[in-house]
Amino acid sequence: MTLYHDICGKCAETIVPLVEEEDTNFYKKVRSFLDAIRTGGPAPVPTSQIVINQAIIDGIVRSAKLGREIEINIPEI
Amino acid sequence: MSDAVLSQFKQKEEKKEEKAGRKLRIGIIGTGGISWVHFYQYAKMNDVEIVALADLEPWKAYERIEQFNLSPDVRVYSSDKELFDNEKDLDGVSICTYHRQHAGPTINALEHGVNVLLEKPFTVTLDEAVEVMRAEKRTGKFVSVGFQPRFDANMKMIKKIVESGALGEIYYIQTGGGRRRGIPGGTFIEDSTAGIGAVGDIGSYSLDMVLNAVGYPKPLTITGYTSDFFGKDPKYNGEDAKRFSVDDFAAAFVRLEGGIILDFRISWAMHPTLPATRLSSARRALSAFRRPTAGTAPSAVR
Ligand SMILES: NC(=O)c1ccc[n+]([C@@H]2O[C@H](COP(=O)([O-])OP(=O)(O)OC[C@H]3O[C@@H](n4cnc5c(N)ncnc54)[C@H](O)[C@@H]3O)[C@@H](O)[C@H]2O)c1
Repeated sequence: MTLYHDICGKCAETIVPLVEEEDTNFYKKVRSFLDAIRTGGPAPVPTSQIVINQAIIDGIVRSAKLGREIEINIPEI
Repeated sequence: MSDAVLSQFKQKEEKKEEKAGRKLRIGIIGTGGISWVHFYQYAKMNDVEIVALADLEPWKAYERIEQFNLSPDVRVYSSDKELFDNEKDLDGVSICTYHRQHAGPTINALEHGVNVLLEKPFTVTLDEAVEVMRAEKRTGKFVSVGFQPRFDANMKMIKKIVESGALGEIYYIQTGGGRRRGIPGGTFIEDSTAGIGAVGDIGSYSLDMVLNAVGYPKPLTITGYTSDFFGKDPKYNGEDAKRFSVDDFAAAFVRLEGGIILDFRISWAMHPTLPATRLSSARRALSAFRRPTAGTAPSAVR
């Protein structure tokens, strides 16, 4: 990752070192789900967030079909 | 020590284990490609028991039982409906079906009092997503959406940098990424099973990466575009070109709450590569490259 910024009026770049770790992402995805079952929630990756992801995908598809910009309204749950 | 004293200790230990809980009873719905990883993870954990499977093609479930050396008592069903009609004692299910079959089985699970780990993308349409959330509210059960890069250390770092204030107020986000040649096959490329193409399959990851970092602001307006030039062309997609009926490229300009502009493009196939993810403020910018193949890749970011 790179951070772009100025230093003394000059454009500069700073490298943010990446974390090298074993791939445990899938394990954590499943484990966090099981832990949430035991504690009665909340969900580790909750729909209250991902509905916004889905609203954008849905909006892209609908706008593409209509050929114009559209407004997005996410209904109250 | 006398036996009586010893057995007292033993009883205490047993009570503790009881408290830690019995094994969680898990079902897996959709036993195709990605289910392998769910089986692999559950099979490693000693507080979990896989008890029931469902697939429209049950042979796939039997194959998994053999591969993972599961008990012959594991029940196999030919649909999510049949599974929930018969299983009354599940704690959770992994739903690993194709996109058009995300909402239905998930709502079915919730209505039967079962928590869900649902593979990405959440659903095909916003309406389906809303229906799933209403079912969550009705039943008090929950759905977790299967974005494993969420747990990636470098993805977390992006969020940490944003939250630290090191970037300042972000006004412009570019995200997405491109494969130059990377159209999948199977159930990913037909409208009847996938519903959406690259935009849902890999676009959903790129969106999660930046939206999670900036706290998931709501979208206000969208100008979107999708195309299918490569998917439908036998030169690039061989025999699959005939049945290809989703997008292989999407671009969008999204206005988000808080004065943030999101500039997004994603491709399964196109000629150029697409730019890295960038978050810009008036003071600084952060650039991170998300591997276009990432899904199950070791780290999503470099
Ligand atoms: N997280 C990741 O890294 C990752 C990677 C690949 C795929 N995925 C996602 O996982 C999901 C499945 O992908 P896949 O590659 O395994 O697809 P797949 O086509 O190989 O498997 C899907 C299976 O679901 C079954 N199915 C469909 N509807 C059903 C129903 N109602 N009841 C029971 N079974 C049903 C089908 O018969 C099929 O066997 C998709 O949402 C995909 O985007 C996630």
